[in-house]
Amino acid sequence: MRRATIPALVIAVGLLLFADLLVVNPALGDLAGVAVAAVIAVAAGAAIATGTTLAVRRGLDLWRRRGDPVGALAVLLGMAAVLVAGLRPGSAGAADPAVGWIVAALIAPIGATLFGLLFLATLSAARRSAIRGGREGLVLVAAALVLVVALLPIGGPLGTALSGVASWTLSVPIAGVFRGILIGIAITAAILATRTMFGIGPADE
Amino acid sequence: MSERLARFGLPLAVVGLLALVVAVGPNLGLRIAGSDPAPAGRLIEVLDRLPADPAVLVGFDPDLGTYPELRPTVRTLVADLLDRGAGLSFVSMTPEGRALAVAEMARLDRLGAPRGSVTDLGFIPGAEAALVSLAGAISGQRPAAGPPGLDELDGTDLAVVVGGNDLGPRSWVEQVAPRAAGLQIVAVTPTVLLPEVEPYRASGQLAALLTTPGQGAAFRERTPAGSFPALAERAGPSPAAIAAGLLVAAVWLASALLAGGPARRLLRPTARR
Amino acid sequence: MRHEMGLPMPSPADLVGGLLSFVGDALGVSSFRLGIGTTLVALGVLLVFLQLVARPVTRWVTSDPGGLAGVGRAMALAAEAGTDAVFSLGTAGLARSTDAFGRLQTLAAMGLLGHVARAAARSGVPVRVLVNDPLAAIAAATTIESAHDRTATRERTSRSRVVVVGEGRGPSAGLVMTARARPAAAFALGNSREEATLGFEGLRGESGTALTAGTPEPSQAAAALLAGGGALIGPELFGAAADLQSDATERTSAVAANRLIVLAVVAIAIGSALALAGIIHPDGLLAGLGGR
Repeated sequence: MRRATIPALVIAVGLLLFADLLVVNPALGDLAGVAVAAVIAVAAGAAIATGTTLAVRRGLDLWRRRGDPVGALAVLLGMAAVLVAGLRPGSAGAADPAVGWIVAALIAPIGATLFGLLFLATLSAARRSAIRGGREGLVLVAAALVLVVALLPIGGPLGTALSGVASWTLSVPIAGVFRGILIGIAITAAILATRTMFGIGPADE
Repeated sequence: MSERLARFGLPLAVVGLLALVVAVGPNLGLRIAGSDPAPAGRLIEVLDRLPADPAVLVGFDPDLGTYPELRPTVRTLVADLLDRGAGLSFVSMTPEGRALAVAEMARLDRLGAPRGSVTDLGFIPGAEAALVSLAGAISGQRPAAGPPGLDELDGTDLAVVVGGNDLGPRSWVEQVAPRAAGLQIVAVTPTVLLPEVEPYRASGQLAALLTTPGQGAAFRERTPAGSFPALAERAGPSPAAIAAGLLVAAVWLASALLAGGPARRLLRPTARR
Repeated sequence: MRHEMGLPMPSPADLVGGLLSFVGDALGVSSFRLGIGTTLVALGVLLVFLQLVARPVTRWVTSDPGGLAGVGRAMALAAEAGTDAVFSLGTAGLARSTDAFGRLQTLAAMGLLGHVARAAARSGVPVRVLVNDPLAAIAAATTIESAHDRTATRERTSRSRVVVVGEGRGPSAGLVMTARARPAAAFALGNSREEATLGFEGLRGESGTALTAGTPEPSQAAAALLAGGGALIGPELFGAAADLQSDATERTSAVAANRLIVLAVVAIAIGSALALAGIIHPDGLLAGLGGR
């Protein structure tokens, strides 16, 4: 027999927060506030657990020489560097210059460089999709080509005309399609949220 | 298209085009600010309607990959708010956002932002629970759960949401707007989020929204230098670099369509697997 | 009637009166936070779904847009190649600082992980699951164990593993782009945002691994379509499980969503006509959310 404690807790807290969203009532608000404060505390614990779990797993990978030892060592050294910089005696914590340097000189450039590769990855995927010849891919690439040309930052009358084309394309057909997708996604997500709130899961899980 | 041409000709042509654009770009009248000035005007109207010495809550949750796109606009907006006498309270609900917020506040302190004008509310875990706690603090309806300073948010005049990370304007509209009646929310987000946040602007749930480099450039052009010119960042991405990237993409996509025989394939029925 | 303390016991009428007074006071200080229109819409979603749960659906037409019903073939290829299959649960996780919409996508993808894990267990193919938070890792490990239980292949459980890639979206994309291993089959189902294209390209790799990609994030619909192979875009990820198994709850959810979408389309059409005629302004009904 499955334990009913956790599902009952989920249903109770879920319905409480849902009622607090729909109805403004001081007593209900105070009760929901307790639940919100508890969620924040649990989330803080989960955040600490995430870092600890990552360090433990990578440490075990390194100890047992499995997976990617170089990557595991890099993760552990990076975590150690930030923790030492932020927690050493006399440190200003997250605002310490040493932590700021690590963020500005290492973490931010690595993150920005990684996402700079999006340009190349997107072009590569678009080219492959067009050459493969699927109808959806071709329409996607052709529409992207039109919009890319319309977005060229050219001045003068030509630039104004292209800008008008881009604005109309973004605000009418593209926005229309996206609003339809957003409505469909919102409805299906609301159904899944309702199932989760009432503890109604699939029969075989 | 012959293999030799595809292998050498196209890349050489692209490089040549890039060099030409970069060399003569400034003389071609390239300008990204003129493409869409209305969003910048809406944001400036919202800022002009603020009372004197407004209390502004800055929800700072950009992500490392897309923050370079927003940075000039965000810094100019912050400098303009300080010029209007605003008291800024920075809060983050994502780790990356918190790291970038600490860096930005350190920069403001280093470059001479007025003492006491910037409050650090720290990082609040819990995602939507954090937003609900913030909304409660803003509306004064319940004691806030979070760091010190949260209980002084009663009377906030404006919320500025710097998006890009997992919690963005959409979450603020869903969780904060219904609970903090009357609070105006404006947002600065990367271009990739344009399709999903624009409907919130169109419906009025976001008072103003800047999402593209062009909109950011238009805002920076129309914002005066003010009392803290060092805090702003006027120089945005180079129009020539943007034009070069777009041209490379256009040539690449066009060559892909030609290589794939689009006309023939569009007429042939295809089934999605 | 008097009890031991000498005070009169309240009569049933007094109790009912007190209860009514309490309820009345509570209602008197209460109000709708979102306005009557939005509140009715929110309650309508609950009512439509719960009404269908009470009377489960029996008729169903399978569509399977992502091609997940053919995962057995992908697993057979993986078994022949002697490699594993990779399943990325996206980058929202379950305990990260991300919005509820992202976490719901991870929950939806967990059901599809179960389907893939069962097919892999039957074929003897190890599954490597990529997650970026420990709670999602626990849920994924439980799903893998359950799949091996259902297929009576418990001796193979230890060959599959769950990899926690680290906090944020960047590590997930960086890992798949730099990993040397080339799986025969890859699945990227769940929340993917700006890193989606990087993650999908990394999982496909130079060798053209068969990839099924899906994310409900509207801004990444193009990334899933360009990835090649099966694609689940928009709401399709939430409804995919209904096509894979004859589970009443999954199919009831899909039917409830379809009915609500039809209602939304009708409301938009009627509202647009009335607004064009200048009779009403529909956003006034939803004023609770600040529409103006």
